[in-house]
Amino acid sequence: MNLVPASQFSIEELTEAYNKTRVDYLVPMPMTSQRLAEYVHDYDVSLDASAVALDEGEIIGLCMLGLRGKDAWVTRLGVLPDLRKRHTGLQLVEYILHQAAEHAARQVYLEVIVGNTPAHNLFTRLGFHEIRKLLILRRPPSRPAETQDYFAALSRTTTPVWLNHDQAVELAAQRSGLHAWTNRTETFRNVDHIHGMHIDHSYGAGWVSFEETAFQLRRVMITTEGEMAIAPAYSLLHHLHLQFPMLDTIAENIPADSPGLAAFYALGYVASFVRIEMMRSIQV
Amino acid sequence: MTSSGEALPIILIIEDNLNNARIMSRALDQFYTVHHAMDGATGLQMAAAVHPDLILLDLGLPDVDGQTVAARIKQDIALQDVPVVVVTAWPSETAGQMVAAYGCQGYIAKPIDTRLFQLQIAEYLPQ
Repeated sequence: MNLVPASQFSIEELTEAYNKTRVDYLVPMPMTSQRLAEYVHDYDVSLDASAVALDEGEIIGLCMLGLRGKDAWVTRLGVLPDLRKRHTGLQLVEYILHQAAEHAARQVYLEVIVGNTPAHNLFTRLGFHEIRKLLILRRPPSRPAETQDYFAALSRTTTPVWLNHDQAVELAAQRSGLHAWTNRTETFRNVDHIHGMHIDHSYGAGWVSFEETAFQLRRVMITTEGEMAIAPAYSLLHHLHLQFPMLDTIAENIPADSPGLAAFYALGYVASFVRIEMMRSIQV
Repeated sequence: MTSSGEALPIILIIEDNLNNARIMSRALDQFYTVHHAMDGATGLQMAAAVHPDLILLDLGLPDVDGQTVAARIKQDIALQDVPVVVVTAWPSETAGQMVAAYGCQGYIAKPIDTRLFQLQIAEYLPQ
């Protein structure tokens, strides 16, 4: 078995290999070549620094590496089901970590689905530790109900201001705190179709980002000010879904301790699965 | 066609894994007319074209995921009464939540038991 840069293969070859390695995954998330190409672009994945494991010329595993300055991100690790338990995953991630160091990264992040014990054990063995839980929330299409509860009444006193891509990027750059890789400012810059909506609320201002596609509303993320985050969060989501009632919605990698989380549930979101975000440092 | 000349009920399988689709199809094609789509967009087009009596839906599709496909089916006036049964390897609690949230009629766990599959399917078809 030998490891080579993923850039030696076409997106189509990498997509086919990736889908084969994940066929029995806890939550299979197959991709088309177009989606993998978008993924590479949106999340600053370096195919030169990513790795493919070959056995007699056939791809048996792969692992990708995102690079953003001093931060790196391990993603899309997979090994063919019949060829596991040969330390291929271990070698792939070790190769990737070496690449991260070579590219001057000092922190490496990743997410692993809750219940994926083999992957969690592998990453723990390689020095990663848990930092928080992230939720994948889904909301089927529906018009928000016109209720008379307190937050709904407050929401009706707010006026949404719709933001273009550049305005959304500017607000994203002003956020504080650690954001999941998929939700960082660099992703906002890379994804042209991310827009936003801002409100001024009696409990503090806030804004929501979103990407509208033909079938879905994606990349829904909320940033609020003030201590009573649920109030502006409710208003933001209420206005968003009044504007886009017919789109299925995905809010990805929302921290489980997010202060506005209750607003998501109040507006009809359900948790589909949970990821554990992990991190390790790279010693210079 | 049945021996009395009636058309067989139509089942549409929306499943990207060809092996899984073949297993399901072989378990059903003696008693049903089975169509298969490999991705969500094709599945939606096919559903509109053949108007199935039942849709078997994988959640992990490569282009647009199963939840969104279910949502689009339920929004289509011509298809909203077609039973949608999710066939998935997702953990049962999560699968159940998605089925309930997206208005599907039920779910069957993968890997399917081919001895039981016909009985499981029949439960969702009009008698």
